[in-house]
Amino acid sequence: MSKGQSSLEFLAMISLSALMLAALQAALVSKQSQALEFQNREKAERIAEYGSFQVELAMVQDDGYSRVFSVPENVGGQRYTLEMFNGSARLRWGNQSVILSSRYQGERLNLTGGESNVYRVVNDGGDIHLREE
Amino acid sequence: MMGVISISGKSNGQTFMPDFLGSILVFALLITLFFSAWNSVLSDQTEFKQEDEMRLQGRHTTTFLVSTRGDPEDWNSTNVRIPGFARPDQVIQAEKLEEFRDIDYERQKDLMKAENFYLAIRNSSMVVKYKGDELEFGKNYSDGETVIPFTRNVRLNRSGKISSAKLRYVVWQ
Repeated sequence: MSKGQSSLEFLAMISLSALMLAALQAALVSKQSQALEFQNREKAERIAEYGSFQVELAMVQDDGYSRVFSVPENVGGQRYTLEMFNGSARLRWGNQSVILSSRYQGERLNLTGGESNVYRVVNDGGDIHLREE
Repeated sequence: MMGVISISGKSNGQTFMPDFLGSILVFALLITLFFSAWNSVLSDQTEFKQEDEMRLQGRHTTTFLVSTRGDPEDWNSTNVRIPGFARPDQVIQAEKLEEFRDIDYERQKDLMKAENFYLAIRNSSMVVKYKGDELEFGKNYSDGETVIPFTRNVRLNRSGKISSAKLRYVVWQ
């Protein structure tokens, strides 16, 4: 009868290799998540800036001005809400948000991604309204 | 005569493998290089993001300045919310530029949503004058690290005289 032998050194080497791979995987996932968060934040800021610009453009037009625009459906796969009020544009998605300054100082305007991504901004006698299309 | 076979009861295992240590060191070096490159890419992305934001804001601001009358419609240096010089039909009014001159620089920057800016109305060779003053605003950008220029062709109304000109708007930081 011949006997096989598994050496302790080999087991130690396998364990260390597995540990290193696990550490690498954890670091890669962390970096990937950081990059994805950066992308989502950038997308959110773009949407907030674009929505704010549409409203500001309506502010400087005459009574009756109307324009249809579309926004992305989601940020990072999540629905979002853009609120413009009192000189700021705040976009919330999940448990995160971005705030930009806005020239719009009127009544609260809301825009929600996901329900509809097409909106109409209207200048009605100087008051700005935002409606889903 | 029988051969003597001696079997030693003592055998030595190897707990230290220099080549394995070498491979760990190489692996650690490669990982360090990889993460350094990744961090460098992320920091470049942040810098480009700031430039993109400046570019986007500058484009929006020039649209307001040359294509709209601003807000409120008859804005002045005290009640302006959005500066716009064009009225009617995208003709820049020199009087509105003079009204803009009466606003202090810090407030002007807020209205333009720029960290720093330079604005001038130029013809082919020089800054245009109106009532003895050059139509030039903001601060010179020669010390700026990031400078983003915009140029728009405009028609300028100076006391009823309409001429072609260029609006040069520079955002910088």
